[in-house]
Amino acid sequence: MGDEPTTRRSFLSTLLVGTLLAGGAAIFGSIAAYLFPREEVSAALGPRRTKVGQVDEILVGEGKLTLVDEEPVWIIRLSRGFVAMSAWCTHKGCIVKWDERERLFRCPCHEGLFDERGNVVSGLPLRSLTRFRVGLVRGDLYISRADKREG
Amino acid sequence: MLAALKDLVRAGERKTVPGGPLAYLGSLVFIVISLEAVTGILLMVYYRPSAAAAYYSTEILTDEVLLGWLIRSLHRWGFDLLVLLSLLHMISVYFSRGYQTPHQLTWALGICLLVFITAMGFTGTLLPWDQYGYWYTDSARRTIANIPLGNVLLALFWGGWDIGEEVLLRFYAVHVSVMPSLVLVLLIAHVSMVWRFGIKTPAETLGKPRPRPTPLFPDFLVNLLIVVLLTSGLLLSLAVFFPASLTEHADPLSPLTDPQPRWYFLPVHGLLRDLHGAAASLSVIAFFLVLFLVPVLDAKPTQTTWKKLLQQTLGCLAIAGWVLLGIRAYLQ
Repeated sequence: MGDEPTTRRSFLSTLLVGTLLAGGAAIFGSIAAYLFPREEVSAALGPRRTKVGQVDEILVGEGKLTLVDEEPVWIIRLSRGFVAMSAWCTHKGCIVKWDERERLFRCPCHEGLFDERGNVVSGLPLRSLTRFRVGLVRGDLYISRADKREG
Repeated sequence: MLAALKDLVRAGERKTVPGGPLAYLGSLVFIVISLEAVTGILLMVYYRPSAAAAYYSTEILTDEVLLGWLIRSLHRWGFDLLVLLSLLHMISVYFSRGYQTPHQLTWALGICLLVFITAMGFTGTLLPWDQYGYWYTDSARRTIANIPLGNVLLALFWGGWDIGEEVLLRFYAVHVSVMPSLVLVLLIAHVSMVWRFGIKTPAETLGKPRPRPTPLFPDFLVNLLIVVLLTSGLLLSLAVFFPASLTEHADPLSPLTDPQPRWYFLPVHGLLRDLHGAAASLSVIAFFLVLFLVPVLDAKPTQTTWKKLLQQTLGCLAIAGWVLLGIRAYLQ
């Protein structure tokens, strides 16, 4: 304890300064929370987006097939992130299958092969699979088209 | 370093501020301007000024970024509060005749600040690129096209004769860079003048002796803190209970007929609707010119009652006129 007894003035003064510091910390904390980069924000997504599911549903290397505007779309989780592309084979439109071990898309109709980016590896297809945009919004995965009106 | 702080504190204790409750209005305006600047800078972190991304980035900011809705609502409501406080500040200075010698320049700077602040609000409305902002700016554009030399103004400053990406970028540059710089310079000048020349309290005008001046530190600052806390409480309540929203994405093909402006623009909006074309805009410009000239017309403190009565009456009439115009515009 100090030599002089704590006066009312000094006590109130300390209380005031303490409250101000606490208030200041709250404000700066909120600003820091606001500025802290969230998970990949959905800025890439367009205006019409389809929810695929939760990010925890798909493990690295796995894929999920969903419908986006009546088009089947594969969403694959790679080590570097998520990719989404159309499941329609660019040859004759059959629905390709994702092979987890080989990390390839296989078309069951004519044995076309696409790599994990949708580029043709071998077989009859000439064009790569149509890419879709993936966005992560608070733990939910969303897909939107990449070609239409800019979003 | 501690010695320097102690010196600062002691200088603050020596410096006095004229007493009276109205002295806090000006400081409060300053603080709200700072709040707008801070929230504005925070918004700049996430907002993207392109016709394609403006709306979506605002949506993301409001819905997904942590506390984004709060920052945006504070920015929106803060501006309403800023305009209200600035108007109250101007009115209180007018009626206490604080613009007289040697405060004439302070008054002129203050009027400029008011104009620039409203310009900031106007340019800010377009930025979210939603239906309301787009069509409100469009109706303003049509109004400007009607005033004399309007087309020249549009060509030089607006960025074209319609509302597109170029206009958005220009409004963004003005809102974020040009106006804040001007406001900052004017604000520093205005506050420096106040510190140099002091302010005139109402009691002085009445011929009574000056109330005891309050020391800057700690009395004035602590009282200001209380005022700031109360105002922040009000602002936060507004931001939390009435968060800023977004209408739909701007659609150049589906116009909003006659979007209603914010309350502070209602009187001018009503005026522009009643007096067509040049007459309305010129009357608004004339009013501001008169405002500028008030300290010239009524420079020296005199005891003549008729002059004082005229000044007070004109002031009341002006306020009543604007308020009535606003109410009328709102009801239509």
